[in-house]
Amino acid sequence: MNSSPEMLLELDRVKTYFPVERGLLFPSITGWVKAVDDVSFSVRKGEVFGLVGESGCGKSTLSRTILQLVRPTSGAVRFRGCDLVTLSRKELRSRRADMQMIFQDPYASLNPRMTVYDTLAEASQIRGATAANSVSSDIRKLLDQVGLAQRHIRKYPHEFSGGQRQRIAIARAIATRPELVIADEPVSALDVSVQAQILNLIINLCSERNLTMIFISHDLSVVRHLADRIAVMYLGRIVELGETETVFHDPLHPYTQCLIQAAPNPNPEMQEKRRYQAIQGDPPSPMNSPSGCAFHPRCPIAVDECSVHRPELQPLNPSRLVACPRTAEASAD
Amino acid sequence: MDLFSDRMKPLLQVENLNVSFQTRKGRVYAVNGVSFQLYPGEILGIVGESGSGKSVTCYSLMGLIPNPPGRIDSGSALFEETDLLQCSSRVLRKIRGHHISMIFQDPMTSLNPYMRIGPQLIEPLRIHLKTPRQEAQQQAIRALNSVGIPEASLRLRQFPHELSGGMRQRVMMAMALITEPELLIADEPTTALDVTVQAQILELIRHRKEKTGASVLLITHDLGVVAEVCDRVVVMYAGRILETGSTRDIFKSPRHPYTSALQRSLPGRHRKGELLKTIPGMPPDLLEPLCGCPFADRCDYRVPECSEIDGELILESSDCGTACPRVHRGEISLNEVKQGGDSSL
Ligand SMILES: Nc1ncnc2c1ncn2[C@@H]1O[C@H](COP(=O)(O)OP(=O)(O)O)[C@@H](O)[C@H]1O
Ligand SMILES: Nc1ncnc2c1ncn2[C@@H]1O[C@H](COP(=O)(O)OP(=O)(O)O)[C@@H](O)[C@H]1O
Ligand SMILES: [Mg+2]
Ligand SMILES: [Mg+2]
Repeated sequence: MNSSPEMLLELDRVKTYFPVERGLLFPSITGWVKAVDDVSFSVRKGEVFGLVGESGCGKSTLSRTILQLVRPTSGAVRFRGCDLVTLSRKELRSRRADMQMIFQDPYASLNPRMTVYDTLAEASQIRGATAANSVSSDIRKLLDQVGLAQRHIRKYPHEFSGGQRQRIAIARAIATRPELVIADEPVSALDVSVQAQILNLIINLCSERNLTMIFISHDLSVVRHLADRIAVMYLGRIVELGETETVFHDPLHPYTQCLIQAAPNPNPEMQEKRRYQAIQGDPPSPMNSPSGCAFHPRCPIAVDECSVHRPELQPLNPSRLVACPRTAEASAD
Repeated sequence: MDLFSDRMKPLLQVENLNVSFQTRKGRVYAVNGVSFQLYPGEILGIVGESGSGKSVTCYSLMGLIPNPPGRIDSGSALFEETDLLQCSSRVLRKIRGHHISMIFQDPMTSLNPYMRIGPQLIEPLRIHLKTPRQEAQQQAIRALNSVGIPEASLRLRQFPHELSGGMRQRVMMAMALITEPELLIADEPTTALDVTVQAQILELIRHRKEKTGASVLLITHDLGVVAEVCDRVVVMYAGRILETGSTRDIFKSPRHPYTSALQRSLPGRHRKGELLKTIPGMPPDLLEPLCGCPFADRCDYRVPECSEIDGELILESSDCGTACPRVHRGEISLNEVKQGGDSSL
């Protein structure tokens, strides 16, 4: 993969495997959970890169691997050209400010014994702000930006609603003035009306601060609204990647097609037009991933060949990649 | 009262249900004056954001409100001839599990982790219908097949933890449906599931209704799920019903500002990247009995009157009603909500 100057983040054949151990006294490794299995893609500076897929497909592990919260089994994660995998813990710490994460459950990610002020002050200090008055004025600005009233500054996380807590988590993430923010299901636990408020906040921050964001969600309508490009994951691998609108208009991988069709549409008139047979079965476990293409047991167009060879993610054109030889052939004709 | 009601009697008729909870901060008025009917062969959706009283409404029908702290302050719920809120617990137990079944978001609420699937499945048959063991076993296999579980006879010998989440959800459905109840109450049955599995479960619910004509009360916070399976909808907010109508009408021409605002805030109703329309503020505190319309503070159309007179549901026809007197009087028109421009989502 060529380093092009506009790429902020490049993943090159990243694998993150977790050992499965048996035995209490003398545990031995009996297998591997291939949570992230040979993933390569690049994120451009300033873009919102969407990552979709069903639970357990490895989205969170992939984000944790990017931030080196889990070390990959193999592969490279280059941030501004520098491979984070080769850096020591200490070297990584000095870069902590550049990359931040927002989680689905802000309650779990915020320290319950720290006030809003303490949480944000700690984050500002990561960036290097130390003078007390500059920290205070930073925090006031942050609260304004995320739409929290200044009077909340001495409160603890449990005193807030879910939506407000997510605002605090977002304020903490941007306090270090990161270049890259990974948002892992940031609105999935929120009600529709609160979700809209938080999404607006994210949209505004991305444009005001020219943030680069990896936005993870299982809700396709949310990703479609925000993301410039999306990658679709299945069982640790990326099966399709492209410009968001292109992928939604013309999904090529059978799994992407199933996913888009299965998403409930809040428009009953559309429902009647597109009744379809839901794909059968559950996503298999990444511990014993099917042979060949991992999707083949559920795939409506699978042939014998699919259970033998694992398809690579192939470029159809410079901006579109698909890991299904059958659809790639069909659309090339 | 035309259409449905002329032709048939409701299977379930809930009148003026009020439920409250004693908490450390005071009494929480969780459900306030809720009334609705459910007709045979109908899928009725109860939709609302969290805390709007959907679960409490359904738990009341099933006698599952813990008392204390909960209390059903008033109301009735006629199921066929029986008032579920008044009848003895013996009668209720008989109805429950035989004529009315309930499924939950978390299948482990209904499944016993220490018991194999088989015995759990046939238990309601043995208790309520006194079905002989052999035959119950056969029915259990049929029930598992009907919810799309392969290798059913093998599954009967497994424990719940040996199954995937989607599979457990289907076992719970099979268990709820094995006595062929007239009414299935489903509280967020697909919320914890992935979209492809959710689509399978919704398909099952739809299919069963078409095949057996049984009724379903489906609780969800997801407007997409409502559009997908419900015939009619009740929209709840702060423990009250703000609007009811056919699914098509609710989406096409909502008759309450809240329903309209909720739909407008969906990402699918916007151009890509555009700021979403939001509803300012937050739902009211349920610690005080509410005066006026619970949505008034957040409503774009409010007038002083809104915070004074109680927003009762005004029935405009048998299956359509709004709690907004201004919409009812034709003073405001919630100009038709544009249907999502793109069809693929
Ligand atoms: N620390 C860990 N040890 C072992 N297995 C893990 C660990 N973290 C995640 N996994 C497994 O890796 C797979 C991917 O998980 P995750 O990345 O959380 O998926 P997603 O975020 O897409 O739901 C799952 O099967 C999960 O059980
Ligand atoms: N056991 C309980 N004790 C105190 N309050 C309760 C209890 N159960 C429900 N409530 C309150 O009742 C209201 C409605 O809850 P619920 O019906 O669960 O909402 P929904 O299902 O619509 O999300 C909430 O404000 C909740 O706090
Ligand atoms: Mg995750
Ligand atoms: Mg509930």
